[in-house]
Amino acid sequence: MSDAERIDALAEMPTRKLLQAGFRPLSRFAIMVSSILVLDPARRRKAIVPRRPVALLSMVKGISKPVSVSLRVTTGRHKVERGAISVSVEFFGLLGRPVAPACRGNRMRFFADPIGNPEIQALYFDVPKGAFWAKVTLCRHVKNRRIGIEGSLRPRRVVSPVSLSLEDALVSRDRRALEYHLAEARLRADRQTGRQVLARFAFLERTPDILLSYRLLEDCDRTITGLAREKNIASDCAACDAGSGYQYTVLFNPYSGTIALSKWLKSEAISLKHVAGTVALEIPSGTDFLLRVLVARSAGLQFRMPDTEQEVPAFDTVDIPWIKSDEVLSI
Amino acid sequence: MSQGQIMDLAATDANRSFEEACVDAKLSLFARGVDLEQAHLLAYYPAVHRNPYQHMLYSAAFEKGFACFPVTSLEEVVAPPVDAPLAVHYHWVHRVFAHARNSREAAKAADHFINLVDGQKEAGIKIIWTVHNLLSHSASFVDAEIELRARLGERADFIHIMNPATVELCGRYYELNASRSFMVPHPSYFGVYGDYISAEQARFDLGIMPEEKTLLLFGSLGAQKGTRDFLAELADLEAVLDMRLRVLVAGQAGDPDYMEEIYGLIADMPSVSLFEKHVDDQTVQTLFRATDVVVCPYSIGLNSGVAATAATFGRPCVVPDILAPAMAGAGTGIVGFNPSDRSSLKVAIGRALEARENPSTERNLVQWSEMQRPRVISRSFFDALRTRW
Repeated sequence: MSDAERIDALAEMPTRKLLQAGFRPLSRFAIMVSSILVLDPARRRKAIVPRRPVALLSMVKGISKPVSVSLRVTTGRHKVERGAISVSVEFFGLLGRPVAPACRGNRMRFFADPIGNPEIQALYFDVPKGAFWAKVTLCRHVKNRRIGIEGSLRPRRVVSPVSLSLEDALVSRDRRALEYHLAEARLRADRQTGRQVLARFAFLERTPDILLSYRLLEDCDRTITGLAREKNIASDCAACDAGSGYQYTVLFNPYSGTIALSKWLKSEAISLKHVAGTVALEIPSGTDFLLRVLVARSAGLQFRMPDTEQEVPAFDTVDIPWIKSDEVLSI
Repeated sequence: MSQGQIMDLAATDANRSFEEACVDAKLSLFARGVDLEQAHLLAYYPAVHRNPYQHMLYSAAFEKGFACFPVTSLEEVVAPPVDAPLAVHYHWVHRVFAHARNSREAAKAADHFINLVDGQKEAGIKIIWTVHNLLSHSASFVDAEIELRARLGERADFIHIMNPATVELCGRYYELNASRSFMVPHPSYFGVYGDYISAEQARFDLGIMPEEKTLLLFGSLGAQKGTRDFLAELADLEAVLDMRLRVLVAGQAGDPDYMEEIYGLIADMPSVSLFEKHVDDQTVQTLFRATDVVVCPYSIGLNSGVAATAATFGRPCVVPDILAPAMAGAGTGIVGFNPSDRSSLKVAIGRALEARENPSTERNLVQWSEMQRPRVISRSFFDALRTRW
């Protein structure tokens, strides 16, 4: 038996299982018609994904809500196969002019589950302004093995609110539910939940933006807990006379939330110490108050804050993602 | 591909028959001024192109009167059509099992391979075997591989070892004839990889802050490489060392099921960066220069190109105890651990991080690497071979 025959023989076993489970290859006619983008190759049948990509053109004019393409993906293997197929979407104007996608991702690789228990997976996307057509393309990514699909390449409006609980979302592949819980966690500055959701995202797909978000969150966590643990390196300067210290009113460098907080703090502290030297600081309330407090803490400088407790709640509490104002004020 | 366009070295190798390679070898040696009575041909198998080891080992071949060339199929190896002695040099023999689906097929593949070796010996061809490891990292058919190694060991005229303890250690699994073995160490990678960027630049490129202690696990990802166990113990390691660690894992992705385990482990570890692809020769320097300590958490290992690479870049390396003698002379930068005692790995990493703080560590490693540079080791290899031929 030649090498090629052996590989073919290996490939046949999972394929046979797929056939026994009712999956059928697309007919030549179906593949031909799908090449002109008008036949949904997966609609109302258990289909085996052809070797070459198949695509479907759908009208999406006027859709403002998010839409999704949902599929069940099956492998004849006994274990889950990561990234077995991908679904991607492109947008076009009425006459075929390409339209740039909206910010939400427009391509996703799907897992293939063993026969009998495939999970519904969905690519969610927003229809960009000016789009008339959406071309959804399905592509197989495993060699020498067949993959089965059930579902439709036709985009559907997403109407129902996210119903998955956090616990269920954390074991699901539903990006929309995960995004929802991540946004909720971020609103509450709940870093623990944020970490759990981002870890799930990272398991599903190690995209650069997920890894960056996760790294930034962990850095926030480490920075705040680290500063809280430090032994009174920079104590409040209750004894400072008002007006005697350096007035730290405006940040030297803006904080965008897209860089690690620890790095930004170090960078800002260098600038602050360069200007203020070692004199005590006065940190009046105002824009970026919490950030200025953190900088003073991490710079190891003595500082004086506003006296009245009433002033604190008025400070901008959303200027540092994932951190609550009371955490900053209590360190 | 248009005519004359060369995609890579492997493509050029494949375009020449074994017999033509023998003739080319003789003509090239003659042109080099080698006395035809001194000319030797060496065909090696399997040819591995992404790993530069073979090119390093054979780098002084012509100067020593040898012409070395890869063979893609052992079936085509016959008595050479030129009047020069020929040897077949075997390397990673577990490749014999590449297409075996079960132990029966593995045994059959081994029989076929040994029959070919016997045929080569009957044709007057010498057999050389470099014992890279006790067993392959990716051994799927352990019993069949042990038997294959034993049978090849019986037939090999010359057994090249790179670790002085090889014969003794292999004796646990299969016999190697000590009288037919010769020791020439693993070359360093001095002059092999691009090496021109600074550590600061490398760390900056990878987003590693100066104060972050960074470990590197380098090489193809497979179950026997110990990456999974290392990652599972990373939190413990950080607790023992009382420090946060940045971990770089770089290498060709392995079996999908194994990779799933890796993805699962590192999903909750943003301090672990995974580069799951082949690392090209110009990028190797970035990873090694950016690193404080290289870790080879293998369960078995006689020699390690990764450890030699670490030494070349002056970085301490943690290796299994049995591998340490292969790096003799590298000083305190090579730190051994006992693979059956996981706590010893943590201790070893702590010692290696301390060693990194000492400037003499890097100096000694680089000095070792210069002494073991490929051309020097290659000369030793061919000298040793010629005296035994």
